Formats: sequence, C-alpha cells, structure tokens
Amino acid sequence: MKKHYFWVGLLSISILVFFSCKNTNDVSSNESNTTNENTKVTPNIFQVSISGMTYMPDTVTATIGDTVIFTNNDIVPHNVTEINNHWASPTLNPGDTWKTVVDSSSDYYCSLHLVMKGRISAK
Amino acid sequence: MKTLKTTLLTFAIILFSIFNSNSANAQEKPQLTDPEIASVAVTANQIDVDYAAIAIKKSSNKDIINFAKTMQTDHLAVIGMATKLAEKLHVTPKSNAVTQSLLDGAKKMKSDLNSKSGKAFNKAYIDNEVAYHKSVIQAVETILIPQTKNSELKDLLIKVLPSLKVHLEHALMVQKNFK
Ligand SMILES: [Cu+2]
Repeated sequence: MKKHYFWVGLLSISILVFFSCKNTNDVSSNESNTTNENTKVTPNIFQVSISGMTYMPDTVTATIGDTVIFTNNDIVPHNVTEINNHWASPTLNPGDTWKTVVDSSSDYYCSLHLVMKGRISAK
Repeated sequence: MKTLKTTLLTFAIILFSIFNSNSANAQEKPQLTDPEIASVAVTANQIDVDYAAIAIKKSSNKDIINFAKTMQTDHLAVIGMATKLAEKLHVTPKSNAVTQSLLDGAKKMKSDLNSKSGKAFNKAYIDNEVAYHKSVIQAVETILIPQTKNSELKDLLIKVLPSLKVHLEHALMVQKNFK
C-alpha cells in the first residue's frame, strides 16, 4: 500500500515538472519573438545540422547580426566555407559545433566534399 | 502502324527477358553472413584508402589531392566505426570470395596506377574512383544491406550510403577536368 502511494506521488511530480518545463519554454520563446519583431535587441540563433552529407536546412534566412550555429551530426568530418573564401570554419569533426554571425548573404560549401552546398540569406 | 506495333512488342519482349534474366541472376548473387559482410565492408573501404595514398604520393594536382585526402579521412572513419561495431557485437570479420575478388581487383588497379604518372595518372585515378564508387554503391544497396541480419550493422551500412554517393558526385565533378 505504501509503495502504491509512492508511485502515485512520483507520477504526479513528474507530470507537474513536465508541464512547468513546457510552460517556461513556451513563455521564453514567445518573449524572444516579441522582442525581435518589435525592437531587434536580441539576435536570433539559427541551427544548421550537418547530417547525411547535407546541411539541414540548406537555406537559412536571417537578419544581419543573427547567429548561425553549425553542428556536425554526420559520421565524417565537414567544414563550412564561404564560396569566395571570405570566411571558413575549421574542420568540424563529428560532434563539433561552430558558429558565425551573419553580416551579409553568403553561399557556402564544404571544401572536403565540393558538392555539399548551403546558403545564408540575409534580410 | 502494324510494323510500329510489332517493333514495340519486340522491344517489350526484349526488355522483359533482360529483367527476367536479371532476377534469375539474383540467385547467383553471393550470399553473405554478417561476419562476411563486415569483412567486405572493411576491405572495400581500405582499398579506397590505399588508392588515395597512391594519389597523394604521385599527383601534384590540387583537385586530385584534395579528393584523395577526403577519401582517406572518410573511408578510415567508416573502417573505424565498422571495427568498433564488430567488436561490440563480437563479430569477427570473415574473409570470403567477395573480399578476395575485391583484393584481386585492387592489386591489378594499384599496379596499373603505379605504372602511370602526370596527367595519365590523374585520369586513371579519377576514372577508377568513379567506377569503384559506382560498383561499391551497387554492392551496398543490392547485396550488403539486404543480406545483413544484425540491425546495427545494417544501420551502419545505410548511414554510409550518402557519403558514398557524395564521393561519387565529387569524383564525377573532378573527372570533368581530365577528359
Ligand atoms: Cu563535407
């Protein structure tokens, strides 16, 4: 009987924690959206996952000052090289992350796998 | 009109017999166990690492060297993953007829590559990379993946496929400069 109460208690706590976390997330993402639309104080952060030999998403539409974070989730090393070599990441081994602040529209590719391409489109 | 119909019918019959003979050939496809598949996978990757080493030593073309370095890095990464997984699954890669025919082919190709230099070497290397990746992709898709029993080994082969395809596209791109 005692054991029974323990499990019910644990379950209710988990449910509470789950919902409170969910709420916090919702609120914070709402806040950052409002801030950006109205005052542009907080730059946005965009995530690009490198996986299955592609940049996902392969096009990011951002505002100058925003940050793009690249994470190599693939099985082999890659890099992110601006097409005219204006900037380039170091070699990103599986698990590595690299970020860049958007200062203009850029096409980029992977200099290790020339057919891998992506674009940052600056608004 | 009647001739056209007959021609089309003949075509259809020919196509049908080609497909039929292909499916009959399916029975002649090598049947491999997981330890044998592991051996084929490691060997196929090692052969491309070896070709790359020859290219890095012999070529002075920057596109060829860049491609060869990527082949070394990527195929060594795959060998690393396959070896680790085989250890984890207590699978000892087992040499077999397919491994042997891969090694025989590679032996000939390496001596051919070693006998060439300059432009002729670059062309021979990249032509072989195109052909080799095509045949490895086909073997992985039609023999290795379908025949693998262990799901983790199968997943690894599926994960490797996009890199093989991107290598092929990259090789085709480099090949255009060596016509
Ligand atoms: Cu890459």
